[in-house]
Amino acid sequence: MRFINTGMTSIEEVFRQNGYITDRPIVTALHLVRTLQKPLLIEGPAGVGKTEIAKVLAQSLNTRFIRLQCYEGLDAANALYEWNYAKQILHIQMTENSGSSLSEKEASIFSEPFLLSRPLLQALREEDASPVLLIDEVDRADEEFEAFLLEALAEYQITIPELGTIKAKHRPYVILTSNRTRELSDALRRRCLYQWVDYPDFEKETAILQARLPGIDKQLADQIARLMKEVRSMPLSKVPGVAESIDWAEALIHMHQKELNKEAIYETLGCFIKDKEDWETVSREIEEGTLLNL
Amino acid sequence: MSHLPEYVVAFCRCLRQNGFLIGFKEEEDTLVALQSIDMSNQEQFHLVLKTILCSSKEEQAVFDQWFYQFFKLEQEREDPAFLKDLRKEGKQAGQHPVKADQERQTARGQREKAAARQGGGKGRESPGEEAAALAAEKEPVKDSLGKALNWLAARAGGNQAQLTAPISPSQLESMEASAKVFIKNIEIKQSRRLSINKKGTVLHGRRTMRRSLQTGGLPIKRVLTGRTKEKASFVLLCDGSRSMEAYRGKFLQFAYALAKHTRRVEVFTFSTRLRKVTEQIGEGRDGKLPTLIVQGSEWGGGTRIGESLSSFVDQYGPRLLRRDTVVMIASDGLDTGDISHLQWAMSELKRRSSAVVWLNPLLSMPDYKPEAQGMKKALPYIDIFTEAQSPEAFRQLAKQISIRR
Repeated sequence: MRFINTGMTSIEEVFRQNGYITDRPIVTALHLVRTLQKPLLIEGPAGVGKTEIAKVLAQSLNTRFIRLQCYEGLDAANALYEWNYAKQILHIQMTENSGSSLSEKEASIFSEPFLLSRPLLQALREEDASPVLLIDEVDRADEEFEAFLLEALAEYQITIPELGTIKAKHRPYVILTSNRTRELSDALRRRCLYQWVDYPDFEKETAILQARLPGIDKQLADQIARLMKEVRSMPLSKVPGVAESIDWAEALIHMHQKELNKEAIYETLGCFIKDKEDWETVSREIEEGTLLNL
Repeated sequence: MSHLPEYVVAFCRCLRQNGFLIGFKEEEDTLVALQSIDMSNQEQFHLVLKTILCSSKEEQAVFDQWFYQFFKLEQEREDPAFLKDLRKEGKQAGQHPVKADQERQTARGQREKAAARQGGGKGRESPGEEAAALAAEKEPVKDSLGKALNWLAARAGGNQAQLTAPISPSQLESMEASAKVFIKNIEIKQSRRLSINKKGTVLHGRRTMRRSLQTGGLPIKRVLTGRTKEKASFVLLCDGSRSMEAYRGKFLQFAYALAKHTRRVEVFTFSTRLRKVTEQIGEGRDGKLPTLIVQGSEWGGGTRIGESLSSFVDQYGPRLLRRDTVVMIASDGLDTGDISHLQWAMSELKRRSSAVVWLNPLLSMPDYKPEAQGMKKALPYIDIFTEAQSPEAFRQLAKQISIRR
């Protein structure tokens, strides 16, 4: 089949080797990222492995992985480029008596060595192959930054007034992730392919645990996955993701637990419950025995 | 296969009409992408279209239905049963506009909700009611459509339903007038201290002398001092639970009117969990009224007054509870949570604020006695226990509130 021959299986294979259990929709989405050269927007609750997708994609393509972590107040200077002011001032002081003209001085301080490349610029200037650019938690950045991002992603080129226009030699594969703390603009959504990643089902979670922690007992993995499924259906303020189940399983392995029991869960509750009220809710359920009667 | 582009374009057009964000570029992308896959594989075909043409989770859910209907394909096994029902009904009824309209609204989700509801959903207080009203209009679709809507809504906010609570425009003007009077009439004991005040009556000699230096020692401008009028700040806590359905809209409208005329207002809604909505209340754009976007736990669920109030005291108390704060709670006091929380929260509210007003809509019933456990526990800490449903009643209320110090 053509679909298989275009490197889809290789992506899936590398994902598996890296301990990332994936499914058809994600593989298809990544395939489309490569064929259409469009950014991919991945949404989903926290801790389901959105960021991991980008990391593993970089590994599977054997290219550089560049990450731009978004936060409130992130601006172009921190995302794109900035002049190294301190170095420029030092340079001016040191060359004060060199006798060079003003324009020479200007040209020297606004040149490559004084440029601090930030993730977006790095991604565009990659020489060898298309890098994977992860724009993480884009919903945390302000709306103004989103507009700026659109501009950069539309043309894959950036103009620095002093240096000229920099055009990407190799278009980066762009992956954006969002936790839905804020609704993204329609313009950004339209520009991107879209993928929703949800909590894994029971089978997938067991597979993930086994892939991530090769030493894990099959029975323990089953129990953890089943209990997690129950916990996620409870009214918690912070629902544990896959990252938490892996942490928890690791803790249980270190404690040499072969199977779950009340004490073990109590001792390690902090691995996947991160809120006081949630703690009370879950321990009440454990006390009543509803969680352990699986 | 030569008809494929036409099919794809027709499908895109169909989706676009139903509120999907699809432009020419997406159509082109779809065709390019389809070249690179094995099209005899139905699953891949479906996934490719879904990835390119959807741009949000809500759209994905609706997309499947359109996809199978359009390409007349058999649906996957895991498909929720109600979607099948929906499809069946879709086939029977052919095109039915009500359903399409509903889907569009669900699919576009929050992005469009405010605008769509303002324009099209007059008099509908919440999506629950809207769905109910819609179901009533179209009896046969009632069950499955309601389920589908709930399902979509529930999926939208992680595990919790995202709901909207619009501010109703009816009687808004008189409510605003009342709010103005309300703010003005809250009596506050003035501080005895004199401070610079343009409208003051006492001359500030030192400051006047100093200012006269600017004009060459000639005192042209007087500097006056007087008592500054202190204004109350308000904290409004609205119980959004299902049992409050008839009243909560009125209270929110009052909150909106109040927020419009003073900045010292903080508005919260709670049902089983507390949520601050002050920013949303003030956010009506283009002259339109704001529509709150809240979650099921904050609107339309059960009631945990105690937990919600104590989380208010915990989180916001230090900042918002001051000597000049008037706390207004609108709730029927039917608590399903832990009562001990309520008692503690109420005592803290009383101790740290200057007046606690509890508006209970049930008081309008002639033989109502506050005997619900929650209400009983809260009563000793309440300064004014009343009900206010009309703008006039809110206006009257101001006269009862006097700030104790």
